[in-house]
Amino acid sequence: MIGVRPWFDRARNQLGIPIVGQIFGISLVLMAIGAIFIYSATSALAARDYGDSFYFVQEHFIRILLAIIIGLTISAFDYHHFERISKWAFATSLVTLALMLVLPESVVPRVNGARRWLDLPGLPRIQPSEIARIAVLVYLAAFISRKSELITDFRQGVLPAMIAGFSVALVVLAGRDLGSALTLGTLVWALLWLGGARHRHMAASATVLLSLTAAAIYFSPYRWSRWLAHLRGDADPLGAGYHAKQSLISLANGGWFGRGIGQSWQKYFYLPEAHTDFVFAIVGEEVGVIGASVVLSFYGGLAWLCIRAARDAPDLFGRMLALGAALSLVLNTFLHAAVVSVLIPPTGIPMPLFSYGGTSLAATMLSLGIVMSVAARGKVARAPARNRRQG
Amino acid sequence: MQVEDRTRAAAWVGLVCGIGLVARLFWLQVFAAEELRAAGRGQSKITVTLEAPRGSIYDRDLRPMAHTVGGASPKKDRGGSVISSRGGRVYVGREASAHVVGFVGSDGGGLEGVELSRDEALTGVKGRAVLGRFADRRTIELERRDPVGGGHVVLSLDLELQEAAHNALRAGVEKERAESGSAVVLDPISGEVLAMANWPSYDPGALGRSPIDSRRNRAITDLLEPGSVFKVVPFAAAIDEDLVPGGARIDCGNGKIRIAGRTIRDVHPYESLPFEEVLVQSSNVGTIHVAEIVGPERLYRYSKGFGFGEPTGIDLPGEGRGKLNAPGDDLWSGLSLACLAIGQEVTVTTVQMACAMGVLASGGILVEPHAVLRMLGPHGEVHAVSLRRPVRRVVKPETAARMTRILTRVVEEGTGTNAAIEGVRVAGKTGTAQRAHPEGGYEGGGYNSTFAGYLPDRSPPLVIAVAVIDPREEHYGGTVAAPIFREIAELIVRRDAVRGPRIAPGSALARVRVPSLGGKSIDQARNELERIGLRTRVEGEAGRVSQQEPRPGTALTRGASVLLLAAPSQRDDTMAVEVPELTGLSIRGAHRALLDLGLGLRLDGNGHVIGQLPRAGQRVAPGTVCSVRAEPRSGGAS
Repeated sequence: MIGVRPWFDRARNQLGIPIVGQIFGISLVLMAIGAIFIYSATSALAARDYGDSFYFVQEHFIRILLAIIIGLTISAFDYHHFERISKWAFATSLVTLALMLVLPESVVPRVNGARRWLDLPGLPRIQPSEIARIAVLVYLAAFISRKSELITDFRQGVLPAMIAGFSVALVVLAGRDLGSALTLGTLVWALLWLGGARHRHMAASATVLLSLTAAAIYFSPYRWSRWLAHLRGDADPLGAGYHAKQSLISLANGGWFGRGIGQSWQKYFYLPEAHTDFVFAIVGEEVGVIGASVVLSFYGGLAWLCIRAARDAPDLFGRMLALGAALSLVLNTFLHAAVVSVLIPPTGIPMPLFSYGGTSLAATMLSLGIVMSVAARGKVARAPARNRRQG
Repeated sequence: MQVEDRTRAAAWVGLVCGIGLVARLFWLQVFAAEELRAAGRGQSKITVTLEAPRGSIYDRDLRPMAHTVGGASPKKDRGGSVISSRGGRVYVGREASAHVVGFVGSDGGGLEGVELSRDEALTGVKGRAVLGRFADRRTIELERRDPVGGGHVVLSLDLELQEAAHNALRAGVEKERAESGSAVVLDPISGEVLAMANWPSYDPGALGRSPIDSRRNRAITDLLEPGSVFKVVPFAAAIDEDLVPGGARIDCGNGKIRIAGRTIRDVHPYESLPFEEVLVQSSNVGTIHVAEIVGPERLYRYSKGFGFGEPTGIDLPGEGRGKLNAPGDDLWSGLSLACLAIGQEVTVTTVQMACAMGVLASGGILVEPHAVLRMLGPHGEVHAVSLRRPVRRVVKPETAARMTRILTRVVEEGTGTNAAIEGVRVAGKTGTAQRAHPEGGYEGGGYNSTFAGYLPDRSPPLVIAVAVIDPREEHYGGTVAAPIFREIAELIVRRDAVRGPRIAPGSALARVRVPSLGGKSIDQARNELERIGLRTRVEGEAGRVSQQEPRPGTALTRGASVLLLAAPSQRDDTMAVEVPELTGLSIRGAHRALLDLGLGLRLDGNGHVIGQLPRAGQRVAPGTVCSVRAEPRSGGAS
């Protein structure tokens, strides 16, 4: 894709690593860095509550291992297989999420107001909305590639896709998980736009999306109070603004280069959810604005690689899959960092590949596995090396 | 290609968002961070002042007289905030030693006595701890500067003797319904004050229960007319100047003499008395005639010589100087010579009386009295030793010896028989002074009863001076003050009989040498001391003996205690310091050099250092006391 292509190809050639390997490599690097911060953020908590400072990080390593296995397994399949199961995956996700609304709290516990976890006996606790995001992604990619010429048509293209995508978002919202619902909604919207939907259709749907979000905030007392606290700045630091305040203190402590790895002071129970929804605040505190920017640039690089894979994809389905994965990655990272830096009110969004949480890790690696599968079948990947320079 | 265009647009949007995010982080983490950082510190850091434990005050045998209990280590209260308490001050001697020891105020600073005069040394250096506080209120220590405990003071007081003096004085004052009284026991050779009691007194641990008036250390602050005790001055002057031939009789004018329009009388009239008998019988008229022989200038010079009219220089706060008029002064009248001779028109403190009597007891030399024997560092290392400070030779040794013989007769056959102790020679002089009436004159002002004396055959010959102000039952010094003297002296005599004089050189009766205990375990050291009849006192955490006081080789009476400072043994190697070369340095220089390394000084001699132990270059634990031998340089060298 145009201006930057020669640089990118040069880089690839000098490294001598195919794009699949680059994606996998950066993912590994991010997960490894993440594990360091997970240890830093949880050691005190683990020592206090479990008597073993490695308790959380050990769990995290097992999950990383599982996520890697999932990613590599998926990348080995031809991504066209997923087109066939996309409907089933989509339907299963929707039903599961809808069922969670009616299941008792023993199975779907309420955590911080939201019911986002499925805690089936004998199985690890999972967050179905994360899996659902990938299902929606694959489903929409299949839908767009199948009806590529109809996507400009409102009735036959945009509307059915939106109904499908937003229905999942609405069900997630009904489970009081605004963060995940917002990510899902934005993902659906952006995918349709990238797929070629008309601008006026997109503007209309964006209006609907924003109105729904506003309504979701206004009609929920705790969201409304968080929103007000956010607008007021650091008013009431012990109430609704507490999370935001502590997150800002963490970042402020970091300065240019940070307090040093493991030297966070805020992790000593001041910063809530330091290993999940606020892990980036610990990054900012321990490695400063420089370190945090480097970490962000890794995500940028990973997203860029996904776009590269999309460009070289052999068909529209593969391209939409890779773009969707990039979107999902960037959206989650951005929203997580936005919560941490108090651009938006606190809401539960894990940092992809970083945060403590198995479902998020698995889902991210699942989507990156799909991208790797696309990249492995891309034009560049299959072309002989010497021809590529002329391309 | 629509998808590619839109992808590119989306990539740009993503890039802009990313840059925006980094800018936001930059703003929060670098530019607008200070206020938030301060908020973070406020919630997670606590600074605690660590009070330094105040040093203790010991008597001469290292029995504690004042010490601090509790405090020092910070404790967490229920709210999670941390406090470091100062601890409470315990006064062992209570009323008996209150005036010398003094007390501390509510801020922990010394307000009276040694607590005041040695406040700086007793107060340590406060420490500081910075604690990190977790959100769940647990704390950890981030930074710590330990407090340095205050140094200790070893007084020359003998707790037992102090209590005896206190009890005797109190009983005497109460029996005579007197206004107040003071008693001082002094070693006239060394200048060490062994006891200093006043009544009324107070309990330093319960200040509210006694009037402020009772807190005065009257023995050094209150001025009184000494009366006949002062007669020793004209007699010593006459003998020292050889003004009265042996066997001469002094006219006693039948108990009456008229000077400058006033008549001065004797209690028992005599026509004339042999020279020495005048003092034995305490004839006013005879003494005035002796004073006339001596003359006003000489009498004034000798009065000054005995230390009257100037502070003794004792190391306790608030000392008075007393009034001594000089011939030629505006206040010197025709009556002045006669009055001075019999101890009127002159005011003294009880401690001045003791020092003056000490001149006769010690062979003619006036010493500066002191109540502090040694200053110790927080770990018991010796920082300073009070040396004997002779002020001047006042009379020739022969004069002092003859005066002692006369004063012995005072007790054996004269006015001081109430001070006599069977089998022991006692020298002393009674005094009964009319007190000046507040409205002028001496009529109806009451009396001061005094007695100052010593045990001339003892070594050292302890001086005891007693003053009772305004007794209502009796008023003669021989009946009011002398019995108090006797009671104190009797205790000294009784104790001597059992274990020999405390500091007597050469007396080996029931005395043992302190063994070297450094490096031994506390239990081992305790056993070793017990075997030879010494008691043990331990300071510090368990471990090994790092310091001992007194040092090895010191002779102690059985039953005395040895102070052991315990220290964990492994610290010694890591913190060891090298002993500096001291030879050739002045005492001051050597002291400074040792203090800088945290070492103590034990001094032998004065002038410049000629020898030291341990030798220079040897590695020793901090707090080790270095013995230094010094000699004055020969005149030509300097």
